[in-house]
Amino acid sequence: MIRWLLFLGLFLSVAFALSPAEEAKRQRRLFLEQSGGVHPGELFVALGEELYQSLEGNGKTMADCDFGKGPGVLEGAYAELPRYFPDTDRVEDLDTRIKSCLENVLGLTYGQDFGREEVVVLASYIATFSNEMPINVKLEHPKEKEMFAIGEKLWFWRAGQMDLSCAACHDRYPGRRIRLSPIRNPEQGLSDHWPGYTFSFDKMYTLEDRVNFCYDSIQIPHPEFYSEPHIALALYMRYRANGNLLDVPGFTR
Amino acid sequence: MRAWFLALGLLVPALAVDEARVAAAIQSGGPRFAQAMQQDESERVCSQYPEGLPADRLSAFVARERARVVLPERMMGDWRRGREVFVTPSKGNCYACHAGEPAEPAFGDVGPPLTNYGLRGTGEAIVRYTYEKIYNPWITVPCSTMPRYGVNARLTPEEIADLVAYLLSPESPINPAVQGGGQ
Ligand code: HEC
Ligand code: HEC
Repeated sequence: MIRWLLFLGLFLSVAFALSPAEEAKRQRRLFLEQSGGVHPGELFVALGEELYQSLEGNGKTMADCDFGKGPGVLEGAYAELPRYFPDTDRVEDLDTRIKSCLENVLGLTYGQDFGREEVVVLASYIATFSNEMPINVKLEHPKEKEMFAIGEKLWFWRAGQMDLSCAACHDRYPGRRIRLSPIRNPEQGLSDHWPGYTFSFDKMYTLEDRVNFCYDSIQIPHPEFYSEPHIALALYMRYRANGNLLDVPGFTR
Repeated sequence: MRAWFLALGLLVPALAVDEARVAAAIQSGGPRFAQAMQQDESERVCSQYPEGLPADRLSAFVARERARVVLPERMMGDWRRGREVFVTPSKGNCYACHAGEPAEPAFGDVGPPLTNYGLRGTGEAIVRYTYEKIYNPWITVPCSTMPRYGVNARLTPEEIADLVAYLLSPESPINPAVQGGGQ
């Protein structure tokens, strides 16, 4: 804990000297120096790997899960999510797909056999198989097009006690700051480094967790995990980021 | 920003979705989320025209927003109380978007700096402008990113009057360059 606090102090003292991008790089370097070279996200990834290999049910394992590239194929799968899946007949993001596979293929029960923490570490692990690959989200199936259009609506949707929308910050003011936090738009990499380790919370966050955080901070109680607003916004942000290289597990404040 | 709006328009021209489908998606986020996502008429048109309201929508919009302002007995309250409202996260949280007192280094820059805002004096017009700006910024800048603190009852008229005093009083520490001020 003390190490985290020391580090936070360091961060605040350099915050004004550097551009947000340089600042993020510097944060990461300092952190790696202080933690002896271990990226904390890797610990979550390791947990995810263990779980991926050990979970079973209905005589199946997670190798029977199809993340879009065929059962058991993880390479490059996350780079193309969210996407439409014929077996569930809907568009799913990584979090949702993990849940639906564990439920439908392995026959496990959410909240009993596995929960949010398991989904997060599994997502962290599965995402690493797309690290440094270009985001490549497609709008081909009618349901993908529809979900994108919903995501676009939500992105611009002004509501709540603060009258805010994602776009009112992320599209109008990229490069500026809310207090000390730099604002980015999707093209600048808003969604490229999730799942990521957030050192101020000492937690692993997927894109769903991060979107929840922004909703809560604008006084809109966040949508439930795995619900359509999450899938729609992920599809929308990722589509605008097509071609950006994924950087996972990410490392952020 | 305009560039991608255009690009998006060209790439995916036909991605319309009907309102009922969007409403169902919002419902799927749960009742608390769906409740908070309800919009008033102005929020609806601001969402519809993120690049700015069309000219023929402006006058009705401004008239509607102006009619929502409730004035307190005095528009200049107590600057010390205003300072509390300014910094408190559940109240003004103004440093999220504005620079204020020079001694506070943790400020955002989404809105213009408010340091030495009091150089504009304390005449009736500036007092009224400032009160209305905080109560309802959408009167002068439709669809501004600044929240409508009074309209949404996030702040009371009295709290807003205290903020006006904090921004305009020569004694307020946000105004070190105002003569006779800055403590
Ligand atoms: C009040 C302005 C504001 C609004 C409104 C807002 N955000 Fe954010 N958002 C931020 C800031 C500031 C950060 C960066 C925080 C940081 O660096 O710690 C951020 C970070 C993010 C991130 C992580 C980006 C990164 O670079 O690490 C995502 C994803 C995100 N927001 C999505 C959204 C979505 C989706 C919405 C709409 C539901 C939204 N935001 C609404 C200000 C906002
Ligand atoms: C989410 C960001 C945000 C927050 C929070 C915010 N503002 Fe603003 N503010 C803005 C923006 C953007 C503008 C410029 C557009 C406008 O005038 O509406 C602005 C403009 C202003 C202006 C007019 C400045 C001028 O030069 O005429 C005043 C006064 C002001 N804000 C006061 C406040 C106060 C007081 C608070 C806290 C109660 C606050 N703001 C909170 C974003 C914000």
